[in-house]
Amino acid sequence: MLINKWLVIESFSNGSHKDWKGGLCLDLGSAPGELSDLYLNLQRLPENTFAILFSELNSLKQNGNDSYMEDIISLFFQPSYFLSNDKPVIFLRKKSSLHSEFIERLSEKCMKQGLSVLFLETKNSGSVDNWTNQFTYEITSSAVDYNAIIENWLSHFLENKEPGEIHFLCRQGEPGLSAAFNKMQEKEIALHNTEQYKFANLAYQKQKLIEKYKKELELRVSAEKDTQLYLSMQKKQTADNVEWYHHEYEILPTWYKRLGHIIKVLTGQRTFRSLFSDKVKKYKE
Amino acid sequence: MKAIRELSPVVLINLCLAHPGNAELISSIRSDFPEAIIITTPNKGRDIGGKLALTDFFIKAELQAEYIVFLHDKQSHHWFKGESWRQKLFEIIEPGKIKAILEEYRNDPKTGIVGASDFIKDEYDRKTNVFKTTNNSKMKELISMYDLKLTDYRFVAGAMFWIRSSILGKFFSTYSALRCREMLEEGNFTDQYEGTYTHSWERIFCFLANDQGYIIKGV
Repeated sequence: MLINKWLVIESFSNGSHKDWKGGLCLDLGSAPGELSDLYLNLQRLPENTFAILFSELNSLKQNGNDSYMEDIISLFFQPSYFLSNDKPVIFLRKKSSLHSEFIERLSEKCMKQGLSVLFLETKNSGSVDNWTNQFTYEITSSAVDYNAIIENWLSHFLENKEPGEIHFLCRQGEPGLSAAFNKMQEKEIALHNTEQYKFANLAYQKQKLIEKYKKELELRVSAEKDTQLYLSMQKKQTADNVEWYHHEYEILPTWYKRLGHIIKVLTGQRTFRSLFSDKVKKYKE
Repeated sequence: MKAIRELSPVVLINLCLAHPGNAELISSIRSDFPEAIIITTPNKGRDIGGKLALTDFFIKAELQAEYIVFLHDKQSHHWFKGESWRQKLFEIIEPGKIKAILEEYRNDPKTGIVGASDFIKDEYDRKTNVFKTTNNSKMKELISMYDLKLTDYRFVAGAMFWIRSSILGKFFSTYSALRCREMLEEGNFTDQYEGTYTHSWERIFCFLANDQGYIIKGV
C-alpha cells in the first residue's frame, strides 16, 4: 500500500492493540517481553503487518551484542515482518541515528544471513522536507499535510528517485491520539478523491509491478544459470559413464562378449531369439 | 504426511524468501496444518541454511518435542538418480517406518539419529585421517571450531533424518544456530568440484550426535 499506518507498541502482552486495523510496530527501546512469546505471536499476524522501531537513546548501546542482533534477525524471518522489495524495514527515530555503529553491525550481521535491511528514519508529521526519498512520519497531532506529502512523493517519483511507501507511526497511548487519528482518517478519505493521489497511487502500483518483474527476471536468470550448471554436470556424468563402459566392457575381445550374451540367455537375462534378430523382444521382464 | 499428523507434531516449515509464490504457499500450508510455524529465509545454505534457521526458531520459541524429523524438498537436478533418492529418503516418514523408528528410540536410549540405511555413509579414512570428499578441509575446520570429539564419522547423506531434539538443544545453546548459518554459501551450488561449508554442515549435523555419545542407526 502507498500509505501505511503503524501502531507503535511496547509489548504484545497487554493485547490492547487487537482492534487496530493497520500494522504493528514494536518499539525495541524497551524490553519487548518474553521473546519466545513474541515469535509465536508474530506467527498469528497476517503477512507484512509487523515491523520494529529503534527509539530510545541507550537501549542499543546496552543491548548491542551478537545475541541481541540475532534475536532481531529472527524477527525478519517471520512472514508477518514488513518487507519493502524483499528488505526488512526498520524504523529509526532520528536521535537513534547516533548509534551508527550498532546499525552498521546489524546491517553486517543481516548481510551474513543473506538479508539487506532498509532503515527508515522517522520525521515529525509537521515537517515536509523534500531532500530525502524517505516518507516516514511520527504522528503527534492531526496536523498532517497529506497534499504536501503526496506532492513531494510525486516529485521524487518523477525524478526517478524511487520513493518507497509512506508510513505514519502512531504511538499507542499517546494523549489525544484517538481524536487525531479520526481526523486523519477524514483527511485521507478526502485525499483519495484528489487527482494527485490517484496519480501517485497509480505510479506506486507501477513501481511495485516493475519490482515484481525485476525479481521474476532475476529468478529466471538464476534458474537458467542453474540449468546450465546441472546440464554440464550431467554431460560430465554421461561422459564418465561412457568411459567406464568402454574400459569395463568395450575393450574385451569380441568372442568374450559373445560368450557373455550366451550366458545371459542361459541365465534367463535375455531371449534366445534376440541373438539372431534385432526385431524381437530382447530382455525378459 | 497422514502418519506424521497422527503424532500431533509441531510442524515448522522454512520457505525460500526469493520464491514468488510464498503467499499462496503459506495459505495452502495453513489450510492443511493450521498450527504450522512458517518462516521465510533468504536462499543461503540451501536446505541446511533452512534447517539451521528452523532450529534457531525451535530453540528461541522454546518449543517442546522429543524428536525432530528433518525433511526438505530435495531436487538433485544434477544427478540422474535424484528423484529415486528423494523417494527413498522420504521413507523415514512412512507409517511402518515411523513405528519402527520410535521403537528404536524407546529400546535404546543411545540412539541419537535414525535415517534411511542406504544413505548412511562414512567418508572417513582412518589410515590417512582424510574425509574422502571435496569437503575434507572445511569439515576438519568445523570439527575443530566446535571441538567435536568423534569416534564415528557416519552421516545420513541427503540430510533427512530423525534426531533427538536434546542433541540440537545442547549444541546450539553453546553455538548459536544463526551464527553457524552465517558461514554457509549463498544461492544454488554443489560440492561436486569444490567443498562447501553447507555440504560440510550436512555431515556435521550427524556428528553432533556422536560427539554427545549417541549413535546413528539406519532403517
